[in-house]
Amino acid sequence: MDLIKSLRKLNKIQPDQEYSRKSRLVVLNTQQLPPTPSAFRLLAISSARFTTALAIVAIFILVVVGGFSINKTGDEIISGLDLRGLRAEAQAIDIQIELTRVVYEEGEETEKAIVVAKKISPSTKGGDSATLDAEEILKAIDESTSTEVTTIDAILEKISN
Amino acid sequence: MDGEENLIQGAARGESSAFGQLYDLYQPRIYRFVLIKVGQREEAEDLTHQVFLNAWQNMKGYKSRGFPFSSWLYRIARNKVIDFYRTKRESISIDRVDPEIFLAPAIQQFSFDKNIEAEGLARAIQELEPNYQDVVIMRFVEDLTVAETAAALKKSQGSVKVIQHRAIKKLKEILKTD
Repeated sequence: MDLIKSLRKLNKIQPDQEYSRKSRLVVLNTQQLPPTPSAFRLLAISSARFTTALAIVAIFILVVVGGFSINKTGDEIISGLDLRGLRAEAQAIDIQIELTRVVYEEGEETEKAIVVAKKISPSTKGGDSATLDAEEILKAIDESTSTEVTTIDAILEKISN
Repeated sequence: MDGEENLIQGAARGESSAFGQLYDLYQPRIYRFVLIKVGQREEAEDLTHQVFLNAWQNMKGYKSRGFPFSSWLYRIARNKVIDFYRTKRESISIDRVDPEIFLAPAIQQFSFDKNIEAEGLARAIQELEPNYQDVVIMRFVEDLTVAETAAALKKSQGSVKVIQHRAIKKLKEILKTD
């Protein structure tokens, strides 16, 4: 009990008045700090940052792995192709195009020849024989189609002969 | 208490006059608490100043949560003392403390005999564990209730009672041996 009474007497200890006055003045002339965010808010911010970082890393990994797999699939597709067959097919297509062109050019040259023959014939042999001459020209054209190159000059040369 | 609540709200809004009144009310208590724990007047003055500076700077974020304002100040003071011991461990030995700069200048209100008694008691308290020191000072020097002490120390009331019982027992042992 005496101990408790003695302890209560320590309550009379007082700080120095001059110190208290100066300290008070300094404290009250200091700027206050803005309130710090709550622990929950800090946790939310940090977890959001972590999630964002994680998402970016995941996307990066996905892009890298995806890029590799796409590259690999492309190689597999190319390796699965019959290149020789493809090349042969491509060449065949070219040939068909050339043949079609030849036929088309043949038809065009024939029409031109008929027009030329019609223009030339009336002045030399008369109107009735014009049709006959044209037939001869066509014949000449038929003969000329057996050759690889058929031009209007070649047909005209044949007709003139 | 309503007046104190107004002062706290005013200080939280940045009113220095309101915090000035709180300073006048609590500074001697915090100073005693720190002085008895660290045993040196100059250190006690420095630490008490830091406690109130810290409190003022962080007043905008203060939330009472049903606890008295003093419990917040005691908590800051307790942390400051812990930091003090952590950084100046070599200077805490009682044996190395110069008696001239010990409590004597702060206990001038007592008679010569009572000065010696008060110093002896304060030194005995310093030999207790930090938790015991806190409870003894708060409960018997500052006359705080068990609930207020529990709030300041973030402990249950039952735990404070147990610590109080052990602390007084230990203090008696120390004073007997001295």
